[in-house]
Amino acid sequence: MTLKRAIAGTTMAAMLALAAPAPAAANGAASTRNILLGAGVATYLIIQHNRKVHEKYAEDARRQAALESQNSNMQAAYSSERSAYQNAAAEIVDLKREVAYQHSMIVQQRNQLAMQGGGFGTQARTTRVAAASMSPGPVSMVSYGWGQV
Amino acid sequence: MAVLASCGGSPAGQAQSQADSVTKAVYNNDPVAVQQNFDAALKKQVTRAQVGLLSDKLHKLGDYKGLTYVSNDALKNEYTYRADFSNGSAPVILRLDPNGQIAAYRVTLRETTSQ
Repeated sequence: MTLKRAIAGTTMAAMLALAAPAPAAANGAASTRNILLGAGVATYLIIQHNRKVHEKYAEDARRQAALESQNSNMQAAYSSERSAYQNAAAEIVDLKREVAYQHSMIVQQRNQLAMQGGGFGTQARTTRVAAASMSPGPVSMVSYGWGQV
Repeated sequence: MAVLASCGGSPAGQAQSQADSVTKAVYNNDPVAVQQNFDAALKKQVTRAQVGLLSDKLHKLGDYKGLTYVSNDALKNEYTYRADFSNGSAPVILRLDPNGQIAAYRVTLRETTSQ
């Protein structure tokens, strides 16, 4: 495409150059015509040059845009990876907390079982206190000690 | 009966002396002293954590003042006392084996659970 344009531009310039008459020897009309034709050729060359420059700029701009897009995607990918890592780290922290809580519950229940298995602390009876009482809840009679009575 | 029971020479008096020493040991958080008069089977059940837990609960009742005889079950060789503290009291039950060693020692405490 670019080659065709170059050929066309060169052909056009050649045609204009060939069309340009020989140096005017005589009248002013021919001189004026020659001047106009020369100006046209120059204008065309300038326009073509500018077009090529702009095309080059556009190509660079597209390349830059592509690079920026690629960089932007990499940044986005990095951001996504970072976000995913942070989420995973937060999830691990949550899991650690959950495991610690479950461990504490297991230890607590194990201690209770150990105590009750040896008969150390056994609930004797629970009585609901009267509403007028100052006590905030039910009263348990808990027997602590060792051995069975 | 209470007078006889509190006498150190009678079985009840001996039991009260043992119950008092165990109660003092628990109150002082001394597991070794707690097991001193326990029989072999009962000694295996005692842990430091249990003694510490019970000691803390007894301290909530205030200063330990001593035991008062309440009753006994001759068939079970079981004795009941009232442990007096400065801010309350708690029943103490002691059972002795045929050899006179402590086969069971229990303290009953009131515990209020918040709802």
